[in-house]
Amino acid sequence: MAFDKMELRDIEVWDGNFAAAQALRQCKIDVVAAYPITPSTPIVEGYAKFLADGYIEGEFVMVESEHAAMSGCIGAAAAGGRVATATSSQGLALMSETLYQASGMRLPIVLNLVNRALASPLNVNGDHSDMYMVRDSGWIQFDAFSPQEAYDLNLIAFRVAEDHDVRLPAIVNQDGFMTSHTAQGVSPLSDDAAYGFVGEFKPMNDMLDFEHPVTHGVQTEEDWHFEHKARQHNDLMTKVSPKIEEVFAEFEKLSGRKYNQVECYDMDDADVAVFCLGTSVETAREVAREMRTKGIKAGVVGLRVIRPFPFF
Amino acid sequence: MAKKGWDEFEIGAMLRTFEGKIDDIAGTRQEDRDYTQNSSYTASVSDWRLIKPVFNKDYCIDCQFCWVYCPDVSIISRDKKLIGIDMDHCKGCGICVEVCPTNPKSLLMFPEQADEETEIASWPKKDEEEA
Ligand code: SF4
Ligand code: SF4
Repeated sequence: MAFDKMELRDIEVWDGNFAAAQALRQCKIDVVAAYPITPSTPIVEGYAKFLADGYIEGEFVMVESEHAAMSGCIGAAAAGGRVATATSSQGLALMSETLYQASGMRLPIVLNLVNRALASPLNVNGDHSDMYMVRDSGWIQFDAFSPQEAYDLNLIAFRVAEDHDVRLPAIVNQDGFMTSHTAQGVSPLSDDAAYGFVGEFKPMNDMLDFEHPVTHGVQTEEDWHFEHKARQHNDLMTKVSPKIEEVFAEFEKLSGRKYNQVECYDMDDADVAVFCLGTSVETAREVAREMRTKGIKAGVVGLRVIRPFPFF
Repeated sequence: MAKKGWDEFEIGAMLRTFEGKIDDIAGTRQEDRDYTQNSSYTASVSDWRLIKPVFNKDYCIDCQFCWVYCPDVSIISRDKKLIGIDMDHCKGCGICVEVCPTNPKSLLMFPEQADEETEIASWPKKDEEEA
């Protein structure tokens, strides 16, 4: 069966959720196991619609909870597939146990985390408490400040996560509603260019390789536990940053859009600066520009890569 | 086994079952497979067992029920004939005894320290009531 390509315009009007769903379509994900939660639902809903409409060949697994969603992703990734899902807030909290399994098992899953405050009080809008909650779970974390970046960083996340030296799962953050539900101009790559950039999935120790059977998720006690964790953290801290730099540079060549692990705006001569994440970056830049007209040398620093925390 | 440095093992919580490649798992008997040191096949867990199954071939009709039902793949069958139990991996659950349809049963559970030959010599007779 031949799968339809989508003709995209040079500039589309997409919100962050749809931009992420389009990126998942272009990356040809094998399995999405997901459970809906506001405000991330339209990402997996969008993927399911692309699948139903014949644009992708994959599996959409509707599960009974976020814990099951990530568990399904882990199984599919260990089996040897390209895997993604999306969640927010309480959903991530329920998922958190399995996030550690995914990073320890070195499975390159991409999770779109649409940031929303953790209750209580119940709130479907954004803060970054969910993002912070899993900051030490061993996942790479990117932060998008806009729908365009949510799209771009999904493509970039697969490239980094799936690299055989890295093999770590990655979260792409975007602000709930402020990015996820705010339609803006987005310049997508063509289907061929996007898939060409991400490349065909290269399995590693996949369970479906019957000639080399493996057991995933094994137990280690005091004899090997530290060795495994040390290796995992060492790889996260030494191999990921250089890889991100390399992939950012390649992406710039392809798209003209330049990303940095730490984004600095008007910082060369700044006396004061705002350091922030997500959509606040754009607002802060607006304010900093206004401050400069009043003679206050203000700048803005936005963190693009949250984990591993950039260090130079 | 050669010792490995802390960063020399393969990444991920992952272990290989066999050394190198295996072409036809289904067609290769366990004893002919090249298991790694990490495989559960090479480790004995017989000390997890408190009671053990004893096989009496005099009554066995080779129906293979025990082979199908054993949750630990510990019934050894060759050419559709039951030949014994893998005592390194049997957990002593007694399921094989439960499913054995012969009268008397061809498999019975005994304390771990029981002597097999003695138990077989004093094997229960046919249960006429059940028959
Ligand atoms: S006792 Fe249980 S584990 Fe042992 S051979 Fe019988 S069924 Fe298998
Ligand atoms: S279930 Fe009983 S009769 Fe059937 S093969 Fe096993 S031991 Fe023999």
